[in-house]
Amino acid sequence: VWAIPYLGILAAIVLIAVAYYLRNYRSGRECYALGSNPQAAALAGVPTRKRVLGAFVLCGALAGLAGALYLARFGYADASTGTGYELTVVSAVVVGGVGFTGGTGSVYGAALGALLLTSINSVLPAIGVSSVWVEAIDGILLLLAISLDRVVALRVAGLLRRRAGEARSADHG
Amino acid sequence: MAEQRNRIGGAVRWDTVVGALLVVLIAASFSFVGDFGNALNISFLIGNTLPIAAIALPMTMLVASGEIDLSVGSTVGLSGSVMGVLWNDGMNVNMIILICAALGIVCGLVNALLVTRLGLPSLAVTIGTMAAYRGIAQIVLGSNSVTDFPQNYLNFGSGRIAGTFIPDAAIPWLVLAVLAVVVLHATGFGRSVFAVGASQEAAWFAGLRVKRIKLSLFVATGLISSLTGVFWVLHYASATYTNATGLELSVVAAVLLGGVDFDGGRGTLGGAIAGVFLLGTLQNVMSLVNVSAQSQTVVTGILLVVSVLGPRAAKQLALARARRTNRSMTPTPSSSFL
Repeated sequence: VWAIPYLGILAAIVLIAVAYYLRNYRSGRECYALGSNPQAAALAGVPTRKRVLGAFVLCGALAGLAGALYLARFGYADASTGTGYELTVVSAVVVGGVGFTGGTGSVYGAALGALLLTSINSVLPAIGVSSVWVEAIDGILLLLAISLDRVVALRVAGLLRRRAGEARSADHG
Repeated sequence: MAEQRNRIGGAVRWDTVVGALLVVLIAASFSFVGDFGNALNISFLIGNTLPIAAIALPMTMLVASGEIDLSVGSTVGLSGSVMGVLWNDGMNVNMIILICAALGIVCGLVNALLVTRLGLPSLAVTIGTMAAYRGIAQIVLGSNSVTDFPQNYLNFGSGRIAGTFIPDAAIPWLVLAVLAVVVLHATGFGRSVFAVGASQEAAWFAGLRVKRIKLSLFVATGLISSLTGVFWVLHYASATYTNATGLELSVVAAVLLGGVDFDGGRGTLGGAIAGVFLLGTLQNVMSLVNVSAQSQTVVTGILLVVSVLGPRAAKQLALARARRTNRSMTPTPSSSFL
């Protein structure tokens, strides 16, 4: 039990809080609506600007928290701390199933994506794969994730259209 | 009268503003910064800006067509790494350059197929290939660095035309630039690039081969990036897998600063080129007057934000002015929209 670091607990609390907010609160759901179709969301009465502003502010605040956690973990920070994190974070989020075009995904998925990427980064050297492969594998994983997501979405859309077509012909027949 | 005023309002465009800023900056540097004017500094300035200037040409077209390529920096690094490895294996340099060019075409093609065939957003795809290409460069070359390229090629990379401040490599770039300007601003293909950027669906219904146009632009970007990779290696006389890390941001920053609309459909190559050299000159001058590297980053970042806000503000202003003139002057429909 004592193997769980405080920082992990803190991160888990933030994770659960944000996930609960996005799933269960009106303003959280409105973020999804906004992502699916900004115009429709605006017409449906979602305060578009306020939500986007809120999302950026929350993102900045959590990035600040992450900086504090980083310092607590490594006991050291300078101006270049976290250089290149944006790429890792975006990869993790996309690998975790959050749609790049908006409107889908969950905080838990993103967290799993982050866990997957960091596990890969630490497992590859352990099983004897040279560390030079890590960056390429990260990139290819990201490409696979977005391609797979897209292919599945296209398949589902095709299936739904065919079903709708069958239903219509059944009506006429 | 109204028309005349509209035309004046339309004439002050963002790319003209950037061009004017560049001229002012160069003039001011000549008069106030002592070391700026000598031939060596100018040749350094141009030589160091050339990679950005080269990739900015196809990048402008790509952004004008509504797409973006963030993998260019990694393509530069990959092409340089492959060049280093093949040279170590004792291959002929001209052959290597051909292989690098082919490699760049393949890199561009991968981006293009993922974007056009699967319909993925180019921002996401090229963030992925940015990591992938850089990773492959790391696999190919490891942490080695190759430096012993033949002298006559190195001379091309860092030398200048005898008795002038113009680097040798500026000549091929000029040829490319003229070619790009003609293609984008004086051919049907160029018009169709803007049409695709303005409205992909409208362009498709008008009979343009949207996917093919985008594909050719991605391939051109890959090709120019890989050739820039070759130049980068020769210019700095070193091939490592970290070559040109972060170059994509400089290119995109310069292109946006030059007034190319991030949403596509609007922009000029002249503006983009002025943007490239404005950023390059600014960096050069800041180094000359001993501004710290950190402060330089801040200035570049602020310029990027301004570059996104500036054209928007200019457009809003022009629209507001056109509306006002229309209301106060005549009921004739306004023809000015720029």
